[in-house]
Amino acid sequence: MKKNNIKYIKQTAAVLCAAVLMCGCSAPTADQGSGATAVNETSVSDTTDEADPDSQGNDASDPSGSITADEQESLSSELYAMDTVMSLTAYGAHAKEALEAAETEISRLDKLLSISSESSDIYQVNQNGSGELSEDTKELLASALEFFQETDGVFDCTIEPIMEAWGFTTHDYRVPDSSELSGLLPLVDASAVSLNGDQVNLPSGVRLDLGGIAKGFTSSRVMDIFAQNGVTSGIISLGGNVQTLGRKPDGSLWRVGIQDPGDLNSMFAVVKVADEAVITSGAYQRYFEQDEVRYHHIIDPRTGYPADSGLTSVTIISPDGTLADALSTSLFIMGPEKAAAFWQQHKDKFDAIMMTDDGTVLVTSGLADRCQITSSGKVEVVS
Amino acid sequence: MKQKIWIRICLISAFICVCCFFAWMFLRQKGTSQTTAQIIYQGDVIRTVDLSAVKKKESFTVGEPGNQNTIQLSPDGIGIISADCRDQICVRQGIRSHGPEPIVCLPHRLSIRFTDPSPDGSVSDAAALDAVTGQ
Repeated sequence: MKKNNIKYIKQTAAVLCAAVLMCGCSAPTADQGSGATAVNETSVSDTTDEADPDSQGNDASDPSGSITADEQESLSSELYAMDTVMSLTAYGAHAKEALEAAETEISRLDKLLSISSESSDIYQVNQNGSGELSEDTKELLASALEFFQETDGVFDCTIEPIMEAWGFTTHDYRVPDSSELSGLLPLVDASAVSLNGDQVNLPSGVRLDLGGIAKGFTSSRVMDIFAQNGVTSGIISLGGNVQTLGRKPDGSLWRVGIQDPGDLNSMFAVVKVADEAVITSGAYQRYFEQDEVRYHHIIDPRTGYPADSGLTSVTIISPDGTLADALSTSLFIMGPEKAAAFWQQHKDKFDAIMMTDDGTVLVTSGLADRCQITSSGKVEVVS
Repeated sequence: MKQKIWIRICLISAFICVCCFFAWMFLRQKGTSQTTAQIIYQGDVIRTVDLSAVKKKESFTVGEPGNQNTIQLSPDGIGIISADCRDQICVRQGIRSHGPEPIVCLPHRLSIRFTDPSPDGSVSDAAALDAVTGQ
């Protein structure tokens, strides 16, 4: 009898010990709750995409099998530039150097491409009607002129006088009358911009604004800088223009949500990406209201008025951030039918997710296996 | 024999108690990690708030008139309820309790970031995202 009692006591003790050990495993860690105390913030990735087939990767070797603590450790920073807030996150042992180099480059490009900074290339050219451009400005302007041609004039980097008339560049919002817009429209014509080598010449009154692609160009540059500094995994958001480098440290794809124009606290789609930019143009992003009419900031350069194309949101997914930035605006202005036709002609360069005025979501077929639509509206695949 | 039954009952009771304690610890851990927001003003973190600990509505201002935002804390989350900036984009972002993207007042360089964006661990939730485009 006594022997049995001792046996039961031993069993009880064993159960209690096991339970105590389990509790120990679940105890809160020291870094939970209080958060970081500086804008630059270090954290350890907690990304465990359970049962996510993407985490297996397309590569022959399973990347999740060789994760080290250094690779999972991330460093983030926040900065204000190009009239927006930017957040940068890099993973790995070289994250600090990569972020510092990226911030320096962003500041440099901001000064170079700004339309309001007196020292910028663009300001000088707009003031003088001509000028010599630095290498980066020249590259970006050349891209802008190419997009003008490819989109049949829908993407126009000389839209600035019209944007100013509406107050979108000055924040003094107003509705210009039709005669004012008629007077300004002849100044909106990128075909009149002459770029020869480093030299640019503008007709009288024409002004450049590369803001429509500057953030996309910058995000691609940041990815290059991350890679040059030995970072293989990173994600940045330049005011909602997202670009990713590689995959997440655990080998899974990045999950990027697309804001729902009807409910800004919700997403209508989630897309999984690696080494790609995800850039959205939406009528809901910047607008003002006058006499109960809403005027948004995506101006059709052919009419001078906010585009009324039947789309409320256009997201472009492409490895090329500059292209994604230019085409999100362009396809928004084109409308659903022309946008679909444009994609069919350039499907090797990008994919798109669009929402129409009635809530229908249009998804190009290249995204079919890595896009999750969360809205309850109709979904159509463009193929 | 009776003693044996009592020992079994004690053993089972002890096990149930320990399981309950374990479950309580697990839920408590999740509760403390889910809703922390940082308020960053002109590059400095001026306040860190555990939103799960907010039990009643509270408002406070950041900045001086002409450069001022009113922030509201409530059990529903945190948001900017008024601002004397021109575009009012920050106010339109509403009250939120999580998400990978911050609430931002660009003119005043004020942002509210959710430092642990996972409210319930659900991968289908927006909080399981790495970024949001469209803002």
